[in-house]
Amino acid sequence: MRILLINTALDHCVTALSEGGKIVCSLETPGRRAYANLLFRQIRELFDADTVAANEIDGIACVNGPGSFTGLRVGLAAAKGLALVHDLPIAPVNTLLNCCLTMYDADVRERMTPLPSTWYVSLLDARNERLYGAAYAAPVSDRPHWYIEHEPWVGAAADFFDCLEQRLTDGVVSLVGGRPNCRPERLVIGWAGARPEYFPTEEELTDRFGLEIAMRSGIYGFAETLVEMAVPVLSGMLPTAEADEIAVLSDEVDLPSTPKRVELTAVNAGNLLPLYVSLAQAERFLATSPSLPNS
Amino acid sequence: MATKTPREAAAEITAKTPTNDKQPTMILGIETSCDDTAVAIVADGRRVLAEHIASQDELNRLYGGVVPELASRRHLEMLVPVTKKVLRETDLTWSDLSGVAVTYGPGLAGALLTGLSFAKALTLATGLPLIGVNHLAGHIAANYIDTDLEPPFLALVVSGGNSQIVRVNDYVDFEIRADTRDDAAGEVLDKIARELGLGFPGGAAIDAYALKGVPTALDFPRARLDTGEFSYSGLKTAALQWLRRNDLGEGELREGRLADFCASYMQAVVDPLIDNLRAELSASGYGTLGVSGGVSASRFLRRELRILAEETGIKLHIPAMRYCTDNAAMIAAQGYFQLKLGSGIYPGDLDAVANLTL
Repeated sequence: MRILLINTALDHCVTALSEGGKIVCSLETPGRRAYANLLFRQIRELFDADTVAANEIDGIACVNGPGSFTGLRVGLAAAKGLALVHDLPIAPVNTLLNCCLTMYDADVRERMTPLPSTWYVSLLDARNERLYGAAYAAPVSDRPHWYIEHEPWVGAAADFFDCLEQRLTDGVVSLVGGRPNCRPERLVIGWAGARPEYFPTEEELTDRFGLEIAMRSGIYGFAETLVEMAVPVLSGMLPTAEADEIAVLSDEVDLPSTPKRVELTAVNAGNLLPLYVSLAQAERFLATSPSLPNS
Repeated sequence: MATKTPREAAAEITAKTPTNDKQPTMILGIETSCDDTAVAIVADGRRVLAEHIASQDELNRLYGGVVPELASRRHLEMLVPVTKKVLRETDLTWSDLSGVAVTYGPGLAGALLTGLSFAKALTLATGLPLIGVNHLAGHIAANYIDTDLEPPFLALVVSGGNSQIVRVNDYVDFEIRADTRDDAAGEVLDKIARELGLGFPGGAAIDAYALKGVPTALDFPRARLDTGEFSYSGLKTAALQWLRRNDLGEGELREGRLADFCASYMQAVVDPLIDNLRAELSASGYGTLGVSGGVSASRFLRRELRILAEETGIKLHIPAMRYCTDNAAMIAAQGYFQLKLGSGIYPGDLDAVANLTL
């Protein structure tokens, strides 16, 4: 199975081709978010370098957020256009999960000794002192089983950490999957780009949680981890979404004050699945769910 | 005459006959400059084989206007189903097409970028040429649909975003002769309609009232600028002030006052257009005036244009209503002529330009 991988959610424009779950060719441009032309240049170059035509790929994995509105829009529109012409499936991949897997990969490579039980926390600046955050746990020897410890979420930075602390102290059973209570020994917290001022420091978090804390900056999500998440979806092991159902994930949109503020919240499509929600889905969801925030 | 399905029409047009072995050139057009997601296939720049528009009117009504971020998201969701529908209806495949034409400006940056990125991916996947079309050139090209009209002619483009008088010297050669320096005609209509509680977009409601009122009832200012510019901001302010200072009353009284207000207001919107057109028609010597853009739906404006046409003896051309408002057929039509003339074909980079001019 040959997959085209696209990640335009953050400050790196990541494109790659994979075959049999391995990256065979990748192009990555760091820098600011000028994707409008860059992405297409990179995809062309990839196809040329690997002498592959667009009709010779079997599927597309595309990060669908959260992240830069502009970047995501270009990436998803590109994925959809290519998929439409060659009738390809698209696997949408959550930015936060991808970044957690990237941190895990780096962890495994760096540490010779077995990893202690670790939660990986991925943070993204959502502006106005808000952040996108998610936490996933990786049992040491059991790579495929990732558990959502903190669902992808957007809100005030302080609230996120309060919520995370609650989960750590309560030690409640994981939200999905019925996994037994397992308090981690260690937290790895990472984000893309420069560290926003309102993110807590390593010392603050060590004091607060009483755990080993490791902070990682410049986490953009590897192409390798994209493949890992896309293969089960594209090979039919996990359900995929119709191309028109795939939309930018979970960002809050500033709307005029009337009649109501629609908070687009991620719909959890399963413990191991990438998350996606379309605007239409979100609206239907909001219409039937009074428990969601409406201010 | 029995109406043909798009599929039958496409089959007929693409079929080779002994007398006509020239295959028509078919262009896929994509338009996402504002809130409508539109895709169309047009043959030889004049015959529309299929078209589909996904509108966001409900969302717009909900928020009293277009919300750019929602518009962009809706485009991203609608582009695939709308394109599929157009292809399915015509039974055409990618290899039957000769190019993909897409609006790259002016418009909402995020909305433009979504359609443009989608179009780039289509051309990357198919090898078809990418034709970048200026939305305003598209509005002018609406005049070619279902007609034999050829440049040169004079064009009036009046919509929510534009009020321009353009000399169309050739399919790709435009000369702006008059333009708005602030608000566009459609924009001021929508603002006043919102103030009057007539909904969004409210141009049609104002137009309906205007036809029943006395255009000379109120004296609104016309900005007389000798530089070929319109200005509607003074008019908008004057109208809003009038509404604040005067009570429209209730019931029948209100209806009558509202009609007079709207008629006087429309007259003040239309007068500078007509004045500039009259001057430009005589200066250019062009014998045809093509009118397009959403405001060309206005019966009040059409009445004044007909009077102008009778006075000056020019041919007045207004495309079918669905090609006056934003649509993809006009983009495909303009794309066809650009492809033929080798203008605006982009093998590589093309940026969305929110403030693109002709």
